[in-house]
Amino acid sequence: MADVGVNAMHFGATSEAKEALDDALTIMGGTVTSPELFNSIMALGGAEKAKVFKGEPHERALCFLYRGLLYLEEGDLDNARACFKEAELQDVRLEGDSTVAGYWLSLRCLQAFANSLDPYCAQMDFPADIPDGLAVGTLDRGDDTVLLVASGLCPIKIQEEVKKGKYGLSYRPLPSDVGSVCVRGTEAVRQDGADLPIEAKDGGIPVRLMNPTEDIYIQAVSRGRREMDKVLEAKKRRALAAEGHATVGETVAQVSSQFGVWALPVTVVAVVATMSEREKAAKADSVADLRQLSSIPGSLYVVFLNSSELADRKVRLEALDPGGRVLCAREVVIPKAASSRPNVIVARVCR
Amino acid sequence: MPLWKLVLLSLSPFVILSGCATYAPPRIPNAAGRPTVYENPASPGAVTGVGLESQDIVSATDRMVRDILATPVIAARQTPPRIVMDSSYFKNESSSVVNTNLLTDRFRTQLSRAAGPKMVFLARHYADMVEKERLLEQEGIVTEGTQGRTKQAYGYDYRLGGRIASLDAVDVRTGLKSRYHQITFELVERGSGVMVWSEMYEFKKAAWDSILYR
Repeated sequence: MADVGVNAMHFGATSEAKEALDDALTIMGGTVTSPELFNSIMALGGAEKAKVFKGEPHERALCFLYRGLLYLEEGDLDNARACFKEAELQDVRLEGDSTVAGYWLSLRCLQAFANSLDPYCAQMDFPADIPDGLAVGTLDRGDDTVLLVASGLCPIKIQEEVKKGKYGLSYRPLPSDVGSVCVRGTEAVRQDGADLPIEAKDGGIPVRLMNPTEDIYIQAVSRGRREMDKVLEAKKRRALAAEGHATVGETVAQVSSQFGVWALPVTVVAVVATMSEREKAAKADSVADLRQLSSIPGSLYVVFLNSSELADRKVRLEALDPGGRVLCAREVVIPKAASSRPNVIVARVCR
Repeated sequence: MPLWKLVLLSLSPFVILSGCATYAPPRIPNAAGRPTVYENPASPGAVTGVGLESQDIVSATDRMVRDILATPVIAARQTPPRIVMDSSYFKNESSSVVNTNLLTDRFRTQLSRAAGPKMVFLARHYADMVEKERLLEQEGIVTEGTQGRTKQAYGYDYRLGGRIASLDAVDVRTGLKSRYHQITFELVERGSGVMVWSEMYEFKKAAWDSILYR
């Protein structure tokens, strides 16, 4: 349902997205306690993929982010903020001995945007320092439109030996052609393929974000190893030990078979033992849950606009490659936002 | 080498190395579904979390009703007070997604039932409905109701305001998640702004996520 919800958001089907995300978030936001399932997985030969799929922390955070955007669009600022806060809580990590919330620039900016629209909220709390490698459009009181561009593809989950003897879930990023995103007025349309200079202004348009606001691959890998990876390591060690026993058994069977009928019982016992150990090895070797949400993007770009300052109520949204060439562009109509209901525009670039 | 020695030597690795681990194949949950059943809204259901749930709303509003009925300034007035009780000034500042109308609607309906004629509730959230009908009456399109023509809508004596706030704590190592909620209800007197009644409902929930999700 999470995949359905995120895809529906990308296609602008907000009512379907709301329904699907609500169903998905009921499970993602809940606490799963199932002693039977736990025992079957902790036993030798259990597979982690038998667990209820709640999604990884970064996937859950993204689902809450999208649901928060839907609340924003409805003008429900309180619940939008609650979603953004809940999203940050999904990605809590260990730093040394302390538990800290993951840093999601997009979530903090969206909370600030909701604060800016709330007449009862004095402080916007827009992040003062933007981390290196990330960028976000400026936010002013009076901005009533948020434009979120989702580009690239989600990082792929794999199980691998992350360090010698240590196995667990890891990720591989998928490369994206998009190097930056530009939002400009429609009067400055490129002609004859010429590259028009872009002057990034403080506030207003054009806006060019040279870096994403969120890099989903970094969010996925920066959380560190999971507790479950230690269980997988133990299973892997048992599987390797059983494989070793099976190899010994094979060797004994081969050697003793050369002694003919006199070594027949030994050969039979060795073969049976080999099969038994191979079976143990196969069942002890457990694989990390490689299920994932396939619809989430690799990067997010967030820009804030004031709809009343836009000529013709239109902007031109461009995805640029790292060299600054336009990969794809689209004109987006931005209606005048109602007083309590901001415009929320989600654009998906599948490159 | 004698045959018996050869057999013993061959078997010994398996005796030493074989562990006592027993293998239990994973049980794939294959339970049949369950037909729809009605659950008591005042008790925890099958799906739980640390957020605001039905039993919290029921407990909070029941307590508020009891408390306000025990407040003489409101409940023992000679003239029944006029109260506006809706979610217009009830804010959710917590990290739990909740429709605040659930709290205010239940509070209003329960109090209205319990207080009877001692309190009058104004439907300010239906103000446009009332105004449309008044305009139709003034234009002569519809007649007066059976209670005659009222000159204008009533003003209120007290209005409900409130807030839901929360505090979260998570321990990644143990999977413990806890959330403290504080729900505040207040009645404010019109004109003076005096807070004539204020009550709070607080609770804290904790849950441990399985190691599978840490």
